[in-house]
Amino acid sequence: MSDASWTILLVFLGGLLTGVPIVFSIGLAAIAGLYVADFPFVVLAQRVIAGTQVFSLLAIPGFVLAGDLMMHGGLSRRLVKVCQALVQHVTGGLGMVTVLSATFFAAISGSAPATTAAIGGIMVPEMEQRGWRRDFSAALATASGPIGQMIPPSIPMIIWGVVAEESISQLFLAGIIPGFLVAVGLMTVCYFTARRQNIMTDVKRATWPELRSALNQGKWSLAAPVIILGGIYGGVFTPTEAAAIGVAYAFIVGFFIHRELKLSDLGAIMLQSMRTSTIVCFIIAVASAFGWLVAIEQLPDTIASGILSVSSNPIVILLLLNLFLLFIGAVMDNIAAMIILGGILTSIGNQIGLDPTHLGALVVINLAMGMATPPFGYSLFVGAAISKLSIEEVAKALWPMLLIMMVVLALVAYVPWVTLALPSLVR
Amino acid sequence: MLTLLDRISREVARVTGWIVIATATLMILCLILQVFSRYVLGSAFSWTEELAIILFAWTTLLAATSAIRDGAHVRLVFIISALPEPVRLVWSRVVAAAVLAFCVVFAWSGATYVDSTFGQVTAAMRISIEWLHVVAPVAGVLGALHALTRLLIPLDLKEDSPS
Repeated sequence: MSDASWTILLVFLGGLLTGVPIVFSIGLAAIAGLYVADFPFVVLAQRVIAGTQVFSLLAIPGFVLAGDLMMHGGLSRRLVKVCQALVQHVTGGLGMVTVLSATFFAAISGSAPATTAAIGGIMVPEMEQRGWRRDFSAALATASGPIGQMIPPSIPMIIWGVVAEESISQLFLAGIIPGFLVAVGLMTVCYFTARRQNIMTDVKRATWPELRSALNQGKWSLAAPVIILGGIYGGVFTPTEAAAIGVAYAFIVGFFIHRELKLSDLGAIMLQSMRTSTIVCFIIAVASAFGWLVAIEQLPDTIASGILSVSSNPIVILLLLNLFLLFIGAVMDNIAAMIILGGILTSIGNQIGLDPTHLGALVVINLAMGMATPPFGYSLFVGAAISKLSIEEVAKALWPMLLIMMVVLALVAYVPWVTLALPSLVR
Repeated sequence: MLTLLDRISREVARVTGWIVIATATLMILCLILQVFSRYVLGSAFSWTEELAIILFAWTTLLAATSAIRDGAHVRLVFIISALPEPVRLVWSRVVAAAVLAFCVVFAWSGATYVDSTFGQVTAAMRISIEWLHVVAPVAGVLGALHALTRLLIPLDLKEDSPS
């Protein structure tokens, strides 16, 4: 490796481990690399600005804002009521409501922590009141978060589409079956937990009028995914435009129909959403200077060949890739990981002949699980915060759910059909 | 002196917040207008995508500057949080100095870039390209102000900052 490559790696890792924000570790590494490789510094601003001029990225602030507006406009609460009327009488029903609501909410929101916050904030107190252990409820809300990134729309899928230059609509489709598998797995955990601990086994089935009333209240929430996903796959608008339409829809329903959004709150909601989105998008912009430099230094290919020299067996490589991504997802921010490792991962994928959509889904789902795994997972932080438990307490109750996710992950890795069945229908 | 700097930084962050709300709202409206023009008016406006994408650059970079003040940028703290508090506060200043260094280079690099592309116009709207490129030196200077504030009045970096 060249001097510039070593400088980039050392500055980046040095910054990362000593608590320099990830985005500035990346930026300082780029500056050091430009200096050592003797490029003019003007490249920094040029690449960072170019990094923002990608139309697909505008979907990120859009979907974050749409999700926040739906939460404040009462759409997520009504969604929970519908799910409750549907499954409350089943053993483990209230736990299943959490998972089912998160799955619906996932079709509006593209982020794991937002899903945990929107659904967990309602369901954790509710479950505790009805006899569920609080650590279990918090862990369930934490584990349901990653479904938000698997079911479209999905912010990490958008980012991977930009990083790897893949079709975002195709990537969206690849996440649907894995998302449903995780949901079914988590509901199974609820069933057995409720049966073993004898929780709420005597709740009556919702009557027809009750179900009709819940559906009537929740119809605007249920229509949101139909509009967003129907619009994208009906060819009406692009994912970026769909995000903006989602914002308009959430605003109209929350403000005019549910009347729960207040004009005076809009500024604060907008600012909070843009803060969330900028933390991600600014990393992407700065990383494009970093990415330009490491591509010139051919760093991704060097590292990829190093990894591939360990074994040439695709099954072994796939296993190593999964373990590596799980580790990365557990210890660091998964969006930064995706941007930094994008080049290396696509290079490995090409060399072992993985379908690019399969690779994208594999990376996103691995890192989505990282959202729920200790020590560093945003969904876990949110789950702990809303339940007022420590991260350790929530993590202890998480293990059966993580096991389920591991099984789904193995299916995603070794059974290409799980990710490729739906994309191949519209290809 | 320190309280004055802190007050300036706080006021700048507040005004930046209002500008971010305005640029983000306009950005979303451009995208909605794009769909509206295509389906309702029958032909898409040529300028909505370009304007939206320029507003996106401003929204992202400006919102990133006030996030420096609040210590909201994502970082790994598992080593830092093990340090005793006085050491942690000193280290927080070192980190702020590193952020300051980035912002200064970025502002300077941005100014050079604005200078070297002076007089060019955008593809669709034919407006001067500085409307986009000026975002780099502006964000660099604002970021440097907040980083300097955090160098002199450090934040405790114990907590992770989930977005």
